[in-house]
Parts: sequence; C-alpha cells; structure tokens
Amino acid sequence: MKSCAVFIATTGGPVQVLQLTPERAPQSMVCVNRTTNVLPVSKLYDQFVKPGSGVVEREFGPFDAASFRVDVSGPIDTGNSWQLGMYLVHALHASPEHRLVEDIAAADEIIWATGCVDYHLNVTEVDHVAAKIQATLDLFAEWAGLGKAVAVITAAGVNESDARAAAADHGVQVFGAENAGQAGEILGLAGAPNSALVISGTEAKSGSARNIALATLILVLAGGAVFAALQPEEFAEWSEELKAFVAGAQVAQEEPAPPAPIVKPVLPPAVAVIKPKPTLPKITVAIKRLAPPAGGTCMQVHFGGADPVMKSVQKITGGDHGESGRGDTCGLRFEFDGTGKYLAAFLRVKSGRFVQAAKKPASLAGSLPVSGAQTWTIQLPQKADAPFAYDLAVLSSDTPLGAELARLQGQEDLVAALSVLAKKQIKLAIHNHRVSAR
Amino acid sequence: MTSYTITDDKQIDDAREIFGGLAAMNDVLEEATGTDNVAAVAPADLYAFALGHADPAASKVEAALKTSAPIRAAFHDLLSCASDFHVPRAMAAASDDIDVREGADCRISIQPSEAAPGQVYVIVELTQAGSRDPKVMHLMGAGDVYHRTELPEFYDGIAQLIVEVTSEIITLLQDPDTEVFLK
Repeated sequence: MKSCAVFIATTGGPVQVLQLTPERAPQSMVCVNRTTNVLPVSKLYDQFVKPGSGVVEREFGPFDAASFRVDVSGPIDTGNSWQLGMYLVHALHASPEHRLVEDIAAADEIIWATGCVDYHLNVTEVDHVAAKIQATLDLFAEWAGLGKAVAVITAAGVNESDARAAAADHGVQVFGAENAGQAGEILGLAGAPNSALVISGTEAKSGSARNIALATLILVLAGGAVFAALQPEEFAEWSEELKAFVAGAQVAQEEPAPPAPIVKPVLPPAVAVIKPKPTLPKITVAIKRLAPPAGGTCMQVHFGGADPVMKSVQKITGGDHGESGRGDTCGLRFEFDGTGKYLAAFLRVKSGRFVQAAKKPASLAGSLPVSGAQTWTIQLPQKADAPFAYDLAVLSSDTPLGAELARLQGQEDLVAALSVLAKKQIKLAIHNHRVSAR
Repeated sequence: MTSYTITDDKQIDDAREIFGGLAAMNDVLEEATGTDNVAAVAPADLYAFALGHADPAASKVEAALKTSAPIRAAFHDLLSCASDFHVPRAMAAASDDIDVREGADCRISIQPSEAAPGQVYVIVELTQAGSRDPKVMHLMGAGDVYHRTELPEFYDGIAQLIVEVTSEIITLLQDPDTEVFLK
C-alpha cells in the first residue's frame, strides 16, 4: 500500500487535501479543515465530479455514493487549476494499492499538482506556476529534510518548463503530463486511464529507482510491442525478467536504506521504432466584406433594412490582402477552418476601430473542440478618420489553445511566435488587411 | 410621456417581483394602521429583511421579531403573501426527529455527513420546474422563535448547506411546529 499526500498549488501557498469522503447528499462540496466552511469552488467541483459535465464519475464510477466531500487545509479561491490535484485524489481513492494520507510523516510520496483537466482528460496549462512554486519553497525544504520524495506535476509544455526553472535545486522531481492518464502513471496508478504513456522527469536527485524503472519501462514497452510480434517466445522470457526488475525497483524505493543498486535489465535486441513525423494542423482563412446590396446602404445593412452581399477580399500573397474601400464595406466576415481539434482567433487592430455587435464566438477561444468551419462577423463605422488596419491571428491545434491565445495576445511580434508554436504542434496563421478611412 | 425599455424576460420577472413584494407590504401596512408596529420597525426595513438583503437595520428587525408579537404577526403575513415557497407545520405522527419537511413544490431534508459526524447537510429541493430560486430561508417556530439563513445558489433545483447538528436551523427544522418560508 502506497501512501500519498496531495497538495493543490495556489499562489498563496499549497493547500493540502486532507480527506475525500463519499456522501449521500446530492451535491459534492469542498470544505475547509472539516468545518462547515464551504469553499466557493464547490459548485465547479460538483460539476467536475458529476457524469455529463465532469470526468470523475465517468472515469472512476459508478459510485454508490451520490457525491463526495473533500476537506482541504485552506482556501482555494478561483480558477480551475485545482482539477489535476482533485483528479489524482480520486484516482488514489479508486486504487486499492494507494491511499491518501494527511500525515506527512506517514507519506511515501508527496504530490504537488497544478493544472486543468478537460473533458477529454487533457491536462491543460494554468497561470502563475512559478509563483506557486515560489510559495512552496519553504515546504519543499522541510519535506527534503524529512527525506520525502516530492513529485511536482503540471501540464507538459510551458508550465513544465516554468516549474523546472522555479524548482531547480530544491530536491523535487518535476513532471509534465499531457493527459490525466500520464499524471496517474507518475504515481503508479494502474487504475487511471492509460492513453499515450509519455512521462518526462527531471534528474533524479534522490535516486528514485521507481522513476528510472518507469522511464525504462516506457522505452522497453515501445520496442517490446514490435519485438513481441516478431519473436513471441523470446518476448515471454524477457517479459518475466522485466517484471522482476520493476518489482525490485519498487521495493528499493520503499526501503530508504541501504541505497538500492541500480540493476541493468536484460533488454531484448534493439528494435527501431519509427514514429510518424508529426505534422502541423492546416488552417484556411477567408476574409469577406459585407457590402451593401445594389441601391442599398450600410445603414440599411446595420439596422436590418437590407441583407449584405458577401464579397471576398482579394488575397495578394501569403497572408497579405488588398485594401478595401470604406464606402462599400459595412463589415467583415472571417471564415475559419482548421484540421486541429481546437481553433482560436483574435484581431490585433493597428489603426481605426470596429464595432463588435455580437461577441466573438466561444468556439474561437481555443478551449472548446470544434468541428467544421467557424465564422466571426464585425461591423465597421461608416465614418472614420483613420483606416481600419488589422492583423488577424488564427491558431489550430489538437490540444486546447486558451493559454496560448492569451500569451500570444500579449506578445508584440506575432511572426516570432510562429516557430515557437510550431514546436508545440500549434499552427499559427497571420493575415493582414486594411479598410480605407473614407 | 415616460417610456421604458424592457430588454429581456429577467427584467420583467424582476419588476414583477418588486411590485408583488410592495403590494404585499402595502397590505401589511394597511392592517397595521393604528398599531405601534410601524413605529417600531420601518416597513422598508422589514421588507429588506424578508428579501435577505444586508440591511443595516437587520439586527433591529431580528430582535423585534423575537420580542414583539404584533411585528412577528405582520412579518408572518408578509412572508405568507410574498414568499415563493412555504413549508407548513408538520403533522408529526411520532416523537422521532423529523428529517424531511415537505411543502408545495419544495422539500427540505436533513442528511448526516459521513465525513464529519457532528455535521449534517440541509438539502432544499425545488420540484416546480422554472420557478424562481429563493435566496433566504425563514424559519418561524412556536412562540417567539425565529431564524433566518441565506441559501447558497441553486443548482439543478437544489441548494445544499452543511451545518452543525446542534445548530438552531436543525433544531427548528426538526420541530413540527416550525413553518418555513423560502423567499
């Protein structure tokens, strides 16, 4: 039985999950220190647990209990970055070989987690990771003094690199998880969902044999699948040796002294596994003018007297478009399509102004999976002292884009972001266009 | 001529709510004419208290409800007219504690907490689809007993509180003589 203490990172310092209790009341709640003080995140937690809106019961249920009560050591005020920690607490609760403990002295491992878990179990990025680490440094030192293994778990990518930088030389291991299944695997949770198993860790300062074994296991499994297909008898023999190795490593981790010797496993002959080269999603963008109909005016278009006529804006080269005249441009309609699951778009206005009669569609915020073409329409004032000039940035990816969108909006040089985003398998398309002043 | 622009159904509902409450308050005031009720507590304060607003006079109203039978009667009348849900006195068939109270289109139940033995859940369920979500629970017990508690936000027609088993709200809910008004 492995005992884990779980902390949810906040900028005010980590909040420990003290206990998780199945309840008969209809709504799940988060309470502070076993008191009747109910935290405002309770409603969001209830949604996170319930099937339909959430993932917990879908992944670990069905439950006999109607709800759960979570007691935590302090306030968690806003946001959804608690989701990864809560998900792991439920994963521990569902595992017969693990248990959540409050007493740090009794913990085999301490989990420090921050990240959102979306409906598809992707672990998505959150803000302020470095500040959350900073607020935990004293505790990291205290836990190191107690000889406790500490796993810092965040979303893979920028959060992970931020955490690595902030937690360097503090005796913790940093993991980036792309999905909740990977996060569960870090704790050795076989019961958690198990999609694409890829774990990246920092250098194992405390010599955690478990993590070496786990990383080795991943490599071996990748090659082993092919090997098993080619030489089934030898695979069976090798498989037994591997099991013995992993079991040995597990014991070594649970008994601190003497240091466990690192046993080199007998590996099967090297098999080259050719991974398909990842390709960037494709984006198509069309910019159309809302032109007044023959004999009509933009005033009639704006106030419902006439339907606009859609006219494509001429594309010159790459993302550059020809200038449009103000008099026959009542508004602009952007049509997007991307091969990635998620799509995001924003306008950077360089001069002039536009009128957003309706909100930008939620499907273009990057946090909801989309299917098919998406459109966004803006209106333009008919009198302007300056031309309306803008860059239109569109992103497409198979992972949620909310955080990248926010980051990009704060970045001055959009072109410089192209290669950085491409490394994360995010396609960025930049289009520019201008509508004359008069 | 004065004209108003009503932009959505919520504004209409809000206006209806306010005028309905004021009409109920008028009825109470007419009945109270010639008594000292109005002088003791301003009608506006009584109405704000019924709505659960954070009114500076709330403590004065609460004290008056516990000490003045006429004000208590006026307040009872106001709640009877203006509240959204009413749970009447229970017909207790046994001396056991009552853990479920039923009213028209609503149900209030008490459920023990597994996590903390000294705590219980109070679960307020609205069974009428599309009804307005109440914000405050008024408990009017026998004699001069009165307690008011704010309700958390309703979700899927349910609002859930967690309280100490020894709290006044539990004592009152388990007392068959207590009437409950949700406003």
